[in-house]
Amino acid sequence: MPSNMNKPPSRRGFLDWIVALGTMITTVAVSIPGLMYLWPAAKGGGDENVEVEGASKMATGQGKTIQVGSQAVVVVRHRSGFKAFSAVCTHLGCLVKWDQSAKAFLCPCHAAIFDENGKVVSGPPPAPLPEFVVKEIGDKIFVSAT
Amino acid sequence: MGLGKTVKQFFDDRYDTKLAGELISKQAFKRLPPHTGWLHVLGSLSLLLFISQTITGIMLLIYYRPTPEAAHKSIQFITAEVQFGWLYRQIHAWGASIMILAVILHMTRTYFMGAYKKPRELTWVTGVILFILTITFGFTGYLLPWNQIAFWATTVGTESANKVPVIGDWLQYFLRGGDAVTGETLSRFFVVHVIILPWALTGVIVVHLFLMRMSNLATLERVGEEAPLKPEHGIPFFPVHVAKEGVVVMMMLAVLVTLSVVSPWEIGEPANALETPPHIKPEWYFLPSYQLLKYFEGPYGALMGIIGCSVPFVLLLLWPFLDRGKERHPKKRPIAVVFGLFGLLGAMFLGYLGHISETDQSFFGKRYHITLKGWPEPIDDSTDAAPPTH
Amino acid sequence: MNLLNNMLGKVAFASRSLVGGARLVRNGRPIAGLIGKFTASMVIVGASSVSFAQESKVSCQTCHTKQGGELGTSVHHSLACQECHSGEDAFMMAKNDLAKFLSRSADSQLIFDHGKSFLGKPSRKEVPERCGTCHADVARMNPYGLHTDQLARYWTSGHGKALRDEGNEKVAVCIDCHGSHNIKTGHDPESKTYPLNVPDTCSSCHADKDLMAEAGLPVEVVSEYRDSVHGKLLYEQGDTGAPTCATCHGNHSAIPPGFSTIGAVCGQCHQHESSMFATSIHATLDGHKGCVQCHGGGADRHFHHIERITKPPGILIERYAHLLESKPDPTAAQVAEAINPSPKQIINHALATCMDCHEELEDDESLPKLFKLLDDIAAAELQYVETANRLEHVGQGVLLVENQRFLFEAAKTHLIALAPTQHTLNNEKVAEKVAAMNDVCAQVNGQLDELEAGLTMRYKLLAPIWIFAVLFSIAIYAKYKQLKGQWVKPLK
Repeated sequence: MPSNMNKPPSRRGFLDWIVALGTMITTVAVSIPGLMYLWPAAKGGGDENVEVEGASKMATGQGKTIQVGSQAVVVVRHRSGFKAFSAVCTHLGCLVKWDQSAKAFLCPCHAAIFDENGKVVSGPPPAPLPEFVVKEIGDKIFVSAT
Repeated sequence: MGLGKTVKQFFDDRYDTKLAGELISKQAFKRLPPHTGWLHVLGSLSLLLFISQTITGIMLLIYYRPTPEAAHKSIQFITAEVQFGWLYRQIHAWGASIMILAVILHMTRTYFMGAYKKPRELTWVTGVILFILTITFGFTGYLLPWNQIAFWATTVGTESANKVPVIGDWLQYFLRGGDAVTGETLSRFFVVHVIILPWALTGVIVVHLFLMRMSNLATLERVGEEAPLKPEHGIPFFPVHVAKEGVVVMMMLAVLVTLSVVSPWEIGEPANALETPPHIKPEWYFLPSYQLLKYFEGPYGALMGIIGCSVPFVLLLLWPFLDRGKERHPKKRPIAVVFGLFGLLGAMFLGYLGHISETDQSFFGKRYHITLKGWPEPIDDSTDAAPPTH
Repeated sequence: MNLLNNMLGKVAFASRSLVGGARLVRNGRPIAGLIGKFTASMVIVGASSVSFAQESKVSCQTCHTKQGGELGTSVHHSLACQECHSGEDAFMMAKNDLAKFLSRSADSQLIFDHGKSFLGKPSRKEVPERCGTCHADVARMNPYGLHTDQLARYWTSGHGKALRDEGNEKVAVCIDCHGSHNIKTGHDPESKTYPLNVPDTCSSCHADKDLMAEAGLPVEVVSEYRDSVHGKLLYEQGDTGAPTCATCHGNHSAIPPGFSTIGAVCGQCHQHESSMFATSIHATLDGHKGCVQCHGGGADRHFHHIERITKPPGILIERYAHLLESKPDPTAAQVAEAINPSPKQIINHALATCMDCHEELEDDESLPKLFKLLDDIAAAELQYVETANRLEHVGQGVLLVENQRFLFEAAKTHLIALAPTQHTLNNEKVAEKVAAMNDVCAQVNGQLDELEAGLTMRYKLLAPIWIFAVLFSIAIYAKYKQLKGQWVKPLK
């Protein structure tokens, strides 16, 4: 065996300690980001089903603006269930708000009114508000674009 | 009896551990030729990069989703939301380029040192196969982020497949998984990139390493006149050469992290099959072929182009059998060296032309527009000064 | 009569599918030539080849082919000629009976006796009342859901008054805008009252130099309209919801709105602006020209060149990006000039008229207030485009700014809402909106700062990494040298 011919000294010098320490630091420095990487991130990647938080506590007729992807979406609880519409006014892109007493979406910019089904009641918008898909799973409500 | 002894006893009772130990230590302590220098780490650097690519690749797979709808978003997610996701993606993207560079440098070293000569012809041939597999890795991996550049580079890249005689259309249809680059293409490229190529490459690497160990590293001596290696002068792989590799690993890690931070790969716009971005160019390692293809025109141009781009690879594969001279030292085989330099510089020049084609460049204080084929055309500064009107 | 109506209905139904061909065949044949070869067609309708018509019958259309054809494709296709023209009830007669009604005039022209009750072609003066016999009849219009006030409205219009009071027959009567026999509904793209055709319909008189000179009216109003924001909406975007002449002037009651009521007219669509303006100090003043004072393109343009002053956010961003190409570091004034020069232009334009009331403009505090208001808005626009530009640039790199883009949408909402708010001419209210928008921009910028700080942090981490890598590499190299010395016997 080659090692028999030239036996290395068993004494551990200063250099060995440095090398051992360096190796340890490198190993730790490489594995910690790795473990952090593996830890599940706060939100699901590319997940388009967004849960409406506190949906079960919403009263009938109440509305709530949430974020789906990069879009603002208004979720409204009707007697028949939840409905969700894009909050982006089809006129110039302002964000509409749900008016509970009027049962309508109001756009603050040009006083446009959309009814509870997103249809234009009055004002300049050329098209109704696009509807989002609402899924009820147990007592949780999810909204997605498709 | 300690736990260690119990375990040892368990294996001793069942296997010929003595023989296994001898085999392992023979490989571990194998003596490499005394002149083994820094240039000889390029091969192991390629291997290290492959290992790095495997690890980062597996990590990316945890969050990556190979569908047209989700691919780009998942890369965005990895980059923006996952802890250190940006780092692993950048190291994987940069590692790919660096690995191809390392392989090319390793081959260059082997070529100029005549290390491919008898008895190592097959080591060289497997090495060329590894090179081809590596750039295929690059080609398939490039599509996976499903951004505009990736999508269109792949469209253009697979477009040339139909120039292959007889089977061209079929080949292109097969490569794309349809008439155009779609989700089917993504699926195919994904499977090739994460299942087929890793195992193919691993298999060929094993053969390559096995052959390399069988005939040990080459020296610069004439073929058939090598002096036998005296073990006491040889450098033991472990721990001496491994220590050297340690330096390489550290530097490689530092360089990869630096590139990831200083020059990160952008995520780009998601792929859009209805809008071609201007000036689509392939990655740097395809630029020479990309540029070469432009010079073949006319009815047989495409076919000639395909042949023109295949010749270098065929030459590489057959080279040990074509160059059968006994000399290894570069100074003693001027023709092979000149030929090699010509090929290397030619590829670099073509690649550079490909890089600057269809752009404006300054040479010696004058502006030129570089045409598709790489000819410079002087720009009259007075005409293009007016800004676009709104 | 009931039976007849019933039958007419059926014919009308059948005729719809036959119209095109029927019209072509029947057009312009000389009456004398036709008499011999009467193919019997239904009296009343344009469609001649109705299958159950008997060969031996003749009708009005037998002679009046053009009018009959037009009527058949018009909205009135189910009406009988007699409903407007009266005349002989037995309009559909056997061919043989025709001779009883025919005679020759002195110059041997063929004359047809239409009967005693026949009214013939109404004079222009008679037209409104003639149409009104049905269209002002509530009971008759009820099934069609049509208004019945058109006639009444018409008499209030400039056209109607001139016709009745001055006997001026050159003014528009019903048929000028609607056609006579070929009347179509306003939804029909071929109709003269289809929104895209309305300006042409009006300009057939209102762009006629001689006619307008006679009436003492400007001749450019329609061409000004075509260049206005509404005209562009109508013509360039084909938006049939865009206001046309009739939207502001009324159709049957067409009359120019006075400056005092113009706010109400514009406010029919621009509700927010109108209600905001109603709270402004100018709202109740006499002599103020209302909306068109600023938006009408000036008196020299007859106030028909209606323009928007505030530009949509998208255009501001676009113009700013374009400005940056030539001027990488523009001043606020340069930005305002490049992205939205109109407020300044308006001020320069309107200043002359302002002085009608603000006699000593220099000492007046209104002017600084107005400038402050415009400056505030310009500052908000600057802040908006700068933030948008930064968002765009940061997003193009390695950072993901989806959440910030989402947040920034609120800034757009505030900015758009600024446009109506400025009509209050109330500095506090505008400042409030500007502050709300600035708040959002500040939030976005803060988050972008954080993101970019993360990038800088990465750079900073490179230093310790390299120090460690180099030192450790030196240590390993030293170890390598040491091991080599221990393990390898030198060659010589």
